[in-house]
Amino acid sequence: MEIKGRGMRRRSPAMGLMGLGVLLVVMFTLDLALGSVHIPPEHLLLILLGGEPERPSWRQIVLIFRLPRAVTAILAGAALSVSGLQMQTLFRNPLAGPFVLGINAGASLGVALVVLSVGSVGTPALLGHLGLLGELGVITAACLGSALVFGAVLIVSRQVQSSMTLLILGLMFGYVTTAAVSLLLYFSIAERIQAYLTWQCGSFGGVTWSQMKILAPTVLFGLVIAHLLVKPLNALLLGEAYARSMGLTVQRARFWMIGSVAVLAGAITSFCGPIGFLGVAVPHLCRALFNTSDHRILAPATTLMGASLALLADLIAHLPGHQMVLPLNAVTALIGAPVVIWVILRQRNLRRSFAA
Amino acid sequence: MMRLYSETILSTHDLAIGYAPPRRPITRVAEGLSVSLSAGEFVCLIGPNGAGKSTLIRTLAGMQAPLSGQVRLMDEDIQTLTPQALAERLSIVLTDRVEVGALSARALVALGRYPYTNWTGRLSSQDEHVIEWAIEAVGAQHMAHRNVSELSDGERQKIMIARALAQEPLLMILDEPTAFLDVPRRVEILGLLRELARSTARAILLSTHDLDLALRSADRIWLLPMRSGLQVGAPEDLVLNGAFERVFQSEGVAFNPETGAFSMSSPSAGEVALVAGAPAKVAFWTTRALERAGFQVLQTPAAVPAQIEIISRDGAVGWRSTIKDQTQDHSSLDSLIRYLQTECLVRAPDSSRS
Repeated sequence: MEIKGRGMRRRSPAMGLMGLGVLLVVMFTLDLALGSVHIPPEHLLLILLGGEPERPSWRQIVLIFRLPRAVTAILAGAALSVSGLQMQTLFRNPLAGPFVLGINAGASLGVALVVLSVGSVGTPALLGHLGLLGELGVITAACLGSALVFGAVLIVSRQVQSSMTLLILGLMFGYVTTAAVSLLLYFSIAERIQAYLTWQCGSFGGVTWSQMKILAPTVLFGLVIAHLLVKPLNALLLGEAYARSMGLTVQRARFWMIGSVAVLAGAITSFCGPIGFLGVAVPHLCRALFNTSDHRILAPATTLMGASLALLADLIAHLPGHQMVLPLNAVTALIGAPVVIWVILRQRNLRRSFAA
Repeated sequence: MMRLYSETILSTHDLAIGYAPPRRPITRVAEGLSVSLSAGEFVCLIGPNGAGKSTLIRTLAGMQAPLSGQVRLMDEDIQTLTPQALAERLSIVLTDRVEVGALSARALVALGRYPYTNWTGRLSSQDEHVIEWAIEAVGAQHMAHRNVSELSDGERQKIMIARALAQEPLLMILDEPTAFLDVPRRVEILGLLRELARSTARAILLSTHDLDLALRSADRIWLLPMRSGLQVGAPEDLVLNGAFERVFQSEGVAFNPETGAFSMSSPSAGEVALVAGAPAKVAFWTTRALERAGFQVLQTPAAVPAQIEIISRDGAVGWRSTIKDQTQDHSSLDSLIRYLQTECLVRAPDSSRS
């Protein structure tokens, strides 16, 4: 279904998507080139093609540090943005994002249990362990936590007819797990709280190439599912009653949407920590730029735009020319919040788009 | 292609509708419903608020399960049909305004092709053809390119009807589609639906509160009273056999079978005689004005103290009131009514008023 908005933008969406593709390549290059050490683009290309650059340390920097970080950023931006798009359509709510069902709260609880739990292991030993085994432990705990919440949400979604009820229950799950985490924080010592908060800040840099073998296929799988759901998502624009009357099995569609979001958001949160704002802001940005609600356009658009913005956030966080690294969540909030404000102020029919 | 009126599309036998929520007592809204719809029929479902029109509509559309009995669509139980199969046979239009965001009207109509398109929703040339036809059938060609959020309520409902048409169903069910529309739009849409039922040989069922329009346009009326069974018949039959009057009785409001409309209040201001011989249109509206003011209008002038005569002066219409022996000329019904009201107040201060 070619669904276009007002005829003001005669440019075809295919051109817009190609433009986003170009933007992605540019952002990718910049993220690799800029940082505490400046690497000229020609050498960058040389390194990527397998050659030896002017300084061997550059090869190390790009292939071991920056490339996996950039790839993670692309995967994370795409995953979170597409998840946010699905949640906004399913729940007919402009403030919905990938975490409305409490998935990142579950991940946070898992990580909090690992990092903050009072055990017989001494503080220095725990922090030391966080280098190797601890990393894997954190990822596993986050995975289990989000899977647990996701399972609870799924069980409930089978009983509950209304998506609104599901949304509220998801939020409540989130609050309960966040409360549990704050209890754990309350009884912890400073160093552990610091470690937990560092995880909370989010980072694309924590994924090694061997971990990428798990993350990349998972995210690609989730993205494929999301793109297969464009037709049901378009039907849901009219609301569940009409969607059902057009032949959509709403329960089944809801299952696959929540499932793909859980996989995408859960995977990203496990490997990168909870990353906010991209999931909520990017769909609105794409809706405004392409002036359409058609998911055939929005799904690829949010994928490309999300990846580009994540790379931009990563770029800014790594402060070109300085050694310091800013917390990623702060950067995404600083980019994301103005975007959402701009969209709300410019789009007079935002409310009209999302009346429940 | 269906033969008009001979092919039964929808039928029910001894259907009971209501709500059966878990762990709570069952609410029976209506039972013993045995109705049918044929190709080309345009049927209006009417009844007082709370009688169960929406429940019946939802049950017939497969949106909720019946308490007992079956709803059969082309002789298949709709509860056994898959959503896809049901979508190819039945489409709906609901009351509420749908907020869809940035979609053009054509794109919204295109959503009606949902059951027929592939997994991406790509439209074939056949699909495009049907969409064009649906837009033309409702007369929405000039607004097809516009954003749905810019359309007025009436235009939007036309687009929703076009969407339901594009689904190429055998039966269209509409739940109070004209509830938020102004009178000209209601007339237009009911006329449109009646035409569509005939020209496309589809069955169209709609529920409405608009009694007057329903009586004028429907092939059949389904009259659903508060606690007794559904009555089916031609609109005029149901008026003549008193069914309408009985169903819509309530305090101070009565359906008047003479005029086909509701009378607002019982006469309490007194009696007035209208002298015969005036042009029919003026006499009709003069009677209306007098009844509105609470007077009972009689045709025999003899024993009535107040008489109204319609006069014509230099082409303009006027009214002459004769009360006892006092004659007064009025140039508008407004001044006539006010005069009569003050006269009655002066002359009969002790007359009982309810």
